[in-house]
Amino acid sequence: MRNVPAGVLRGTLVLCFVLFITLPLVMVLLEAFGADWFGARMLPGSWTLRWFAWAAQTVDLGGVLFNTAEIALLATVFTLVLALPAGWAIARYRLPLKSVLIGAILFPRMIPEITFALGVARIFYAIHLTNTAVGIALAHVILAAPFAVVVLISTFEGLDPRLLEAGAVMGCGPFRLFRKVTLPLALPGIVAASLFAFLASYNDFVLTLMVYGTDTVTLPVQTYLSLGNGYLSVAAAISTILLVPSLLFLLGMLRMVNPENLLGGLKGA
Amino acid sequence: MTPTRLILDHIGKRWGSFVALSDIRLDVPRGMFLSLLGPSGCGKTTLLRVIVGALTPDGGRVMVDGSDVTRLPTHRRNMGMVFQSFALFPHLSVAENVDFPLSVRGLSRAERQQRVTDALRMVHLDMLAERYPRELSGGQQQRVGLARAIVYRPTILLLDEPLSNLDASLREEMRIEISQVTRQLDITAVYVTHDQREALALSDAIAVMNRGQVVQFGTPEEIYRFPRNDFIAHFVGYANALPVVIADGCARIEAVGTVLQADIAGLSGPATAFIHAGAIVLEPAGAVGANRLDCAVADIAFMGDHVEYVLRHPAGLQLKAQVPVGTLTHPRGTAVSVLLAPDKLIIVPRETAPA
Repeated sequence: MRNVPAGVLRGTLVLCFVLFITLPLVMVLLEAFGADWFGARMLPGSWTLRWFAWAAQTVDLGGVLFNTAEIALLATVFTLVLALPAGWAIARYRLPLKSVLIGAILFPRMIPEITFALGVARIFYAIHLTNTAVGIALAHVILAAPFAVVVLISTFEGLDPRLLEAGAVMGCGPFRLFRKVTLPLALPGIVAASLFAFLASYNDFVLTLMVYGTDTVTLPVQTYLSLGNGYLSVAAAISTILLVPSLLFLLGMLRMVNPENLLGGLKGA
Repeated sequence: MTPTRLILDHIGKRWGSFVALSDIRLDVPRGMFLSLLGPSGCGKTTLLRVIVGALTPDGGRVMVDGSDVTRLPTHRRNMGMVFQSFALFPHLSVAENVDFPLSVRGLSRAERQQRVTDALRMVHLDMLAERYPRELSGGQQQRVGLARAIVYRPTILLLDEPLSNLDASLREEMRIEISQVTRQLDITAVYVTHDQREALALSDAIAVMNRGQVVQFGTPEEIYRFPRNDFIAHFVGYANALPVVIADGCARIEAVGTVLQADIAGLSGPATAFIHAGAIVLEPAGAVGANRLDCAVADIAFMGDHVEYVLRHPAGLQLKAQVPVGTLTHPRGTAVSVLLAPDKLIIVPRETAPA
């Protein structure tokens, strides 16, 4: 490592970033805004918003966006309801088999999503939870909870118990202590966990595909459906729409939260 | 601020078979600065946690100005506490940290502002009110901790090793700050420490603790001059300990047989003679009289205002002496006559179990 000049390392890093992250996105954007791809062109012959208009005509975009957001928000709430107490308990109490517990929580992320999706689909068909926002959000909790729990464990482990004691000595009862000390100190971690949960649901395709219905088409599923219909450019337009809230959300969060805190949970695990 | 009387009435606490506190009885009069002094694990921190309400004792009562607060939760005791780790809220500025207990009490904005300003001025931090804790030095952080602990006029101020996390150079400065603030407020204070110099310098009274018990209670001077047993003598910094046996009304050094003249009233059997390094007098070899040991100078160190000697007796005894600069110096290897003045010697019973 020491013999490699820093410039080469930096160059490689930038190249990787361009190749693996930027280039596919650029291709999608070109496809979404471009027209007249005749011949072996690298760039489209003209620019157009036609595919977006077409997407709006053929697809209920507003409805799809609403479904996606509704499911992602529900999934975030469900995940927090589960992950906040779980993270608190694992971080703050001596539990038997703590490592086994953490392993079990991480397990769904270790196996192929499609495997899990098959099982979830079987259950949901049996109890009529398919094609419901609540059902799909519940399914997404499987994907979101591992990230959220890991981030929250690290957040709550990082809370200095002496700060809580100091708060109590200065006159805070249990409720006020939570509101005035615990919550503000843990807020970056809770925001980070919510972000992970929201995006895990918002971006999910495989699990959603197995349990969605006509009333619960999400943006990733709609992208796939449009592709299946042969409209590559329409699918690209929908993908582009799919990107916008993700990016806005990410930028907003990074403004509020130090990125180190997002990594903190993963580093600590 | 109205000072408060604190009474600890037969406090006991066990963890399984381990006795953390055993029948603690202390009466801390209004405005007294009391130190709980002892090695780690002696129960001093456990006792502090009982006083503040973080722990419920198995038995006994905590009385504050005549009312029993043993079952009162911490947040309703209105006590103040300074922490070893400072325990400042990292998400609040200095002024907001100090304001925190006032906002909890729902005081008016004007009143709060006034009190925060006064408290910060008292610890000389009024210029740093808008800073955040992470931007301050350790000494400054602890001064914020002190201001925050007194700003709401607590009944009792508790200090849990407040100097332990500070650099040696800052410790004295902070100690003086604590002394001045507590005297100025005339507040009843309980100070936990394992450092006898801090305890001696700050306290009106010291309770020396060992294995969950108060083994001696007294003024700093009493504790320093008349330690009750060898554990306490060691702990308050007696540098020299000589095992002696008391029989037939006189004390003999075990290893040598030399008779030591000293106050041995009420003692018999194995005991230990203590003398401070600074109380030892060195004279050229050949001096005659009682309470002398013929030693050789094993080592000598010049310390600025005094000279430190390590003295060795052929029978295997070792003594440390501190002699003011300017007196006759004895080079390494010289034979000297070591005088252990009877009025400087303290003979105490030897604790059967080692501390």
